[in-house]
Amino acid sequence: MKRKNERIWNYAWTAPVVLIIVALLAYPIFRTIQLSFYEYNLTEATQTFIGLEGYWKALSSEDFYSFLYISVVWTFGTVISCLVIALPMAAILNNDFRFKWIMRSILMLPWATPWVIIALTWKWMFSSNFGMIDYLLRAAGLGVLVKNWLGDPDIALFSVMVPTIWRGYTFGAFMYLAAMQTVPVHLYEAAEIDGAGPIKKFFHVTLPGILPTVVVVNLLGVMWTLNAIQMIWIMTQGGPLNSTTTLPVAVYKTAFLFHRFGEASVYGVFIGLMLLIFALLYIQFIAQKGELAEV
Amino acid sequence: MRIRLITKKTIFYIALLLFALSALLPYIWILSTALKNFSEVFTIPIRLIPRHVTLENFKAVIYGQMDFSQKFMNSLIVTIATTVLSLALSTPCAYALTRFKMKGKRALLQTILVSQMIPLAVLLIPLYIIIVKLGLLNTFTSLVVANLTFSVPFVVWVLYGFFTGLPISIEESAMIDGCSRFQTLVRIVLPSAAPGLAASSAYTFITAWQEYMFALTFIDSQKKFTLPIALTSYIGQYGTQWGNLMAASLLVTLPVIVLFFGIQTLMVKGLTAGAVKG
Repeated sequence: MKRKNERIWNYAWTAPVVLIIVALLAYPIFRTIQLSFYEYNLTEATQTFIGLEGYWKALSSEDFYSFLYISVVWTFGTVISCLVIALPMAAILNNDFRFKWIMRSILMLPWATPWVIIALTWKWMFSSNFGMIDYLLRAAGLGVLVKNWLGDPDIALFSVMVPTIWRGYTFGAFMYLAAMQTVPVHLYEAAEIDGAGPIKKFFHVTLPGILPTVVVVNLLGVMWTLNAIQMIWIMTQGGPLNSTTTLPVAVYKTAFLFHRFGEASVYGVFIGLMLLIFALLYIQFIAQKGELAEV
Repeated sequence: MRIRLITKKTIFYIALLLFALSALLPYIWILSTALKNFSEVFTIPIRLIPRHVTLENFKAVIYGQMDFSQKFMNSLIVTIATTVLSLALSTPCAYALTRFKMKGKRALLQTILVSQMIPLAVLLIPLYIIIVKLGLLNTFTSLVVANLTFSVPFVVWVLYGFFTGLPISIEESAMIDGCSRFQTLVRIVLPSAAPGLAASSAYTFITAWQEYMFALTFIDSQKKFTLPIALTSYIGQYGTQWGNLMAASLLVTLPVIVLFFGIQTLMVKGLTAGAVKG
């Protein structure tokens, strides 16, 4: 009897967390899926069943494909840029040089700065006439490159990606650096005997050695970037002309500006499906790496 | 050969300098704007070093109509409540997962891992409806509850990693000496898991301090604004006083940066171990 009681008490230790997961994570997912089949009226809290109509509407509207396209450009543009910048930076930091700790601290600064502040600052940097970017371009004699950074629909998405990359790549860089330090020295020595230069060494020794970390960081990067709303919201609110409206931004706009909760939930379901692919890849990958093995 | 070495070194240091400059650029701009007076912010040609260095922006932020101290307190209340509650709820769970024989352990851990990937856009609408129904709109409670959706899974995951690494033998002897499970946890386990507790609470603090989307959605009374939405709400009003905004930005960032660098190594370790949220 005492045994059995003890068993039940064991579950009590996990109960609050289980409750949070059920009430604040599992139920909302269920509710979003459910809402996507309804038209929801917030003020009266009534819902009318419309079945798949919301999905047909989305799939036959041009807007939806535009949101989808912008999401893909935004996500992969950001993640790939981060990778391309973070790898050389990690390689540089992997050398011994004087004042390395200063360099490390400087490069950690963006990582430690709140997103809101980054968004605000870059909005101000990109502002026409009095912003820093235009000033620097003019000072460098590149005045022709001055643009209406956040107001031109052709450029706005790029302009919002810049600070996101600026903030994002340092996370990858420090992860890659940590991985690089675990690559055995004798592999480099062997490559040197074979006459490999620094670039060859990077591609034949370093990169294969840190590949698992690269995969994990970038899978996470895809999920975080696709989900990110606030950078876009603060800088452009999805504008101009919806040119920075990714699917998550569309969810926010449709729900909280236009109060069309059903339609927003349809978009939400599509985001969930897209993320599911990457989440499965991620879990598969770390399960293979053995991190979940002892669980 | 020597010349080659020198060019190599030069290229190396130029690359280094470029990385450092690009990382520092926005901070130079924040500082430069914050220290200028109102008219100089909107003066062409732009000077990076202000002609007249002034602290009037900071005075305006702290004593002016923005009511900075109130927003600071709001943010502090929400952030501390989130951190304390997350730790209190997650610690027993993480401990039980490493020490007890339970059914569904693996399933629970996998759920915790997966729940860190649930998109905010999917959570926001149902949470909003729940909060409206409970009459919690415009309350700090709504923010703390919503924050738990990201902090609890993260803290459990990180602490699970830390607890797994601790030797069980000391705990067993403590229990033979008559300590209950709970006493063992508090007296033996928690002190040795201190780095993990510090890293996960600092991480929760930093994330909750800058939380934006929930606050934007659940709060619309000015008095209840947290710092992030207070700052963004000043864009566009009265022709955006960038000098004030940049001064306020510095004040908001400073606590986070101090905290971050204070436990830098712990943060990196904790994040590499948990490697789930950035």
